[in-house]
Amino acid sequence: MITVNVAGFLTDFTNGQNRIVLDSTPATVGQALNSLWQQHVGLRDRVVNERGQLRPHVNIFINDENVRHKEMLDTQLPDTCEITILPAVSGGSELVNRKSCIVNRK
Amino acid sequence: MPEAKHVDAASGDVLLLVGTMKGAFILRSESARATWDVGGPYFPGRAIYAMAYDDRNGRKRLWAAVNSSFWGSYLSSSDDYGKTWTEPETYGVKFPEDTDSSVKQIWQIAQGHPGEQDTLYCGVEPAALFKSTDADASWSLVKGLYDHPHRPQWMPGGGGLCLHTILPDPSNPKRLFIAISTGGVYRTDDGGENWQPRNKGVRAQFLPPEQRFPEWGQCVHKIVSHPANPERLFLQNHWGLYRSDDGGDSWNDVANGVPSDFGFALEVDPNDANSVFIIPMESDEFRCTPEGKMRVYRTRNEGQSWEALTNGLPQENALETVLRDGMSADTLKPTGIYFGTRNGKLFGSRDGGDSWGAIQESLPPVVCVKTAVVQ
Repeated sequence: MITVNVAGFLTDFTNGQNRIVLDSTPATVGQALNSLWQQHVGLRDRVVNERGQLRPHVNIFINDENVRHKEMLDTQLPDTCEITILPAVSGGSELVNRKSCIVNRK
Repeated sequence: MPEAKHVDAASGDVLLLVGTMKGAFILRSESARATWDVGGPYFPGRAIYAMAYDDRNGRKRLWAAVNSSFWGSYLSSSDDYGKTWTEPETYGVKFPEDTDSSVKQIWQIAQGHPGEQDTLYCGVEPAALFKSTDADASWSLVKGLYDHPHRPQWMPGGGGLCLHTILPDPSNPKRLFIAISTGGVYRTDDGGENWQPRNKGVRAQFLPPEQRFPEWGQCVHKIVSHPANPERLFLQNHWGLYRSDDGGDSWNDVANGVPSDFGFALEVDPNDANSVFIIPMESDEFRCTPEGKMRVYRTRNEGQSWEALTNGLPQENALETVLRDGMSADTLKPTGIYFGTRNGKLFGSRDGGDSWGAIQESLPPVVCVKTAVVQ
């Protein structure tokens, strides 16, 4: 089971929920986000840009690991984990791998 | 978060739409413009680089470009003078899938030509123009400009590679001017299919002497025109102050007697096509008011001469910066003229610039001031 945690401003687009259990079994972070957009479409444009790239000042953690230190949105997911989406402190990192942080926009 | 205050407005009232680096404010006054109610902050923490008031087609709508360093950039609107704002689930102004661009920031909101009652334009960073013909229900990229062969060579200025000025010619529904930092002025005469650079005579101080007057690539900061004489335009450049009398085909230097021809803000008097206001900055690096004096300069003879307007403005230790959308005039008589500074001060004049007063002195850094008279 994969659960996504969102906080603060983003809960305006989840009917106030801060824990969302995905109704799919995604293999990667990108697939998990696509599933999340299906359930709460208002999150998409705020977390990724129109290229499907993670916004530079948003961080995503798998359990306690930042995907920026792994394979960005291509990072593989275990069967059970918690994904947490948070605004970065100050600016976060601009040094992202553009190719690996693209998620399907559909 | 601070709790927002609100204003109400009635017919004849004047609105100041003030965008700052930390949110938007709506100021309201009766037509005498003696005192101001302050609404806001709206969108606290967000940078509001563009605002507009839209009273076409029965609307009384405020527009705001809401820019978050975390969550992206989108257009919001209010039909109740700021009490409530739209928060769209999905953003409207964004590049289509067959491009390789993404919107970093919305820099400008402009209405379409007279008669285009539901047309809006947005200028964005990276430099591109978007158009809506249904009052924000849908948006499309103006491909004629996006596909321009110059685009790959446009360079970001200090604020980024932004399309910051959109100027429809009210006498010609097919003609539209835009300005880009750094790209220069471009004009379309066919409704946006084709665009021609219109920078002849405008200098690029940052290029070697033999290349100083290129066809395009200037860092134009703002252009304005008056609806009574749309062939005449004024241009505040990154070094250089110009007037065109032929719809931008050529430009002539009119920096006659100003302390610096560097600046950002530029506004034409709605009541007099020959009167223009500027706020010179000392630069290139300093970008503050020269000599520590807060001076607006006004020409009443289309740039042949300029006079310093200082009555009521600080003349000692006033190291202020006014940005490209930081000054705006209202349409009442005598003209009201207003500007906001990066130090959070908002000044106004209700006599066409002859005398001034502080309206607000502790706002966040001001990046946008727009005016409207409620009908």
